[in-house]
Amino acid sequence: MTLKIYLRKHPGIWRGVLSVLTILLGWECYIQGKIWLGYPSQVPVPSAILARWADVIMEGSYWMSWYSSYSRVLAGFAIAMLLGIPFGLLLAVNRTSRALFFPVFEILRPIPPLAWVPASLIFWPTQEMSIIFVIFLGSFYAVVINVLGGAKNVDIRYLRAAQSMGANQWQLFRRVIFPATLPSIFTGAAVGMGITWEVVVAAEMIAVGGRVYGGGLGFFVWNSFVGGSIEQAVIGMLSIGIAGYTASSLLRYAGRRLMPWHTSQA
Amino acid sequence: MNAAQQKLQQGALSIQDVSKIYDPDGTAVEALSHCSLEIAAGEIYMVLGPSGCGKTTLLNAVAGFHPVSSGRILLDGEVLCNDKTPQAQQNSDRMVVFQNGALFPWKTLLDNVSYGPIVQKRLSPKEAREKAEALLREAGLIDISHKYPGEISSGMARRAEIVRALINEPKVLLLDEPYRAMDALTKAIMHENLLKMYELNPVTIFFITHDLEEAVFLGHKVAIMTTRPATVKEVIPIDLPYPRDHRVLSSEPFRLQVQRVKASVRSEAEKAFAAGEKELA
Repeated sequence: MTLKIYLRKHPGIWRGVLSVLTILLGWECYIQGKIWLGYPSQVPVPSAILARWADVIMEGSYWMSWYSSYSRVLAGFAIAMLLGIPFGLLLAVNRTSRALFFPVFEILRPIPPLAWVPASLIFWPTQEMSIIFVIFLGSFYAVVINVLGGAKNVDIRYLRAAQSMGANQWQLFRRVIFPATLPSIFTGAAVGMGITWEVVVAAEMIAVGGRVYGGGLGFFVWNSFVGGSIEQAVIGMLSIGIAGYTASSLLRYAGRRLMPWHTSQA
Repeated sequence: MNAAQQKLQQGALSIQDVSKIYDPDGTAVEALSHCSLEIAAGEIYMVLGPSGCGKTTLLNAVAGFHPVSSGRILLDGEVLCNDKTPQAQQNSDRMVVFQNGALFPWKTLLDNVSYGPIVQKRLSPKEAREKAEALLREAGLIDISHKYPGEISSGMARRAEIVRALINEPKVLLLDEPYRAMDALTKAIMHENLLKMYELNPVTIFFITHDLEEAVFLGHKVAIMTTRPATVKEVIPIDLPYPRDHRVLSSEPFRLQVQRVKASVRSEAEKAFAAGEKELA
């Protein structure tokens, strides 16, 4: 009963479920129809994938892949936030640092994170560290650019109002510039988080050779493909999608908690 | 002079021969030209002029947001700015209520209002909240004091912003077209509310507007500004007794005052229209 009420209050949930089921059903019907008409298909059908998935979730190595990828993403992402937020704020409020660091930053920024893989494999002592470094780079730029843009564009009326009320430089930063930049910080985090999942998978395909345990979801996909199980490769793909979705959902949840005022804004 | 004004000793603002030229080495836009105004303590002083004439420039100079090019501004005889120090210090003795509102969106109304006394360390956070609650109650906002600015109407937000200014006990309240873009009915309610707040917390009010009836309804005096570069064309005392309420709007004396002001401001408005002036910041 309570579930029924909950679902009625949140129509987004069952609509979301409906849309996923519709896609799966359409996919199944299309491929089965093709086969029924006599055309062979390499594409696996959802029913076969789900059946295979039921077996896969019993295997420890599958969950180990989740754990490996997730912990790499979180580590790289956390470092990117820890360094990127203060760095972006510094560039925004201090003209000298902007003049010093921004050109270097802008030259490094267009280099795709994956282009760093060979160099970081040589530079960092372990494979793990090089992957985390590449993930860090992937989200760092997005975080810095958004924080910088947000902090530079704080409405001057807020600054003037706070100054008239007697706020000093630190209070201005802590109580006006920082909260005014929070929405941009979360935008940067959301973009950065998206990039980390793109990067982790590719980095794992390149860097983690021959390790069944700790290879991560990227390696899981590649290994399944090489091993000839296309179903399992698709399972890996969908797992990455779900992993990325849960990560973004957590981020959105944190955003709502930290900025209760933001959702209410037009 | 009413009781509220008589209580007031502070807040006399003297603007003497103030000029402001933006970008003097480049385009050299003259926004203010030899403006002089004498505003007595506790007066509601309306500055009326066509859009873009330079009214906000004058307010910003008083608030200390930018320097003047020449002239000086005094508050209770003390120099805020002159030729030597062209930019006045920003201070809580002159609080601004901005055109589009500047409540902090990340703070509830209560936290917005109690912010000033807390950062100035004039009151403890607890005392500041109590005082904020008392003032919000006075303004009829206590029931929504826990809400964020994004959750309330612009009229409510503007009222809260005036309360946020008043809690700092300023000598002068600087209002920059606070009720612009509000519909006539809301505006009328806001006007009565402002006068009520003024009765309870008398303070000198420097009020910029381009709304003629607003100027006559609220002000002790109306200063009419010329089109850019703005200078004072005429100061018209409004001879209508306080407390004023909506009934004043349909009275004969009000209509006559409006006519008088309109005659003075009309030629300026026409000039501004012909020049196709864009608004100055």
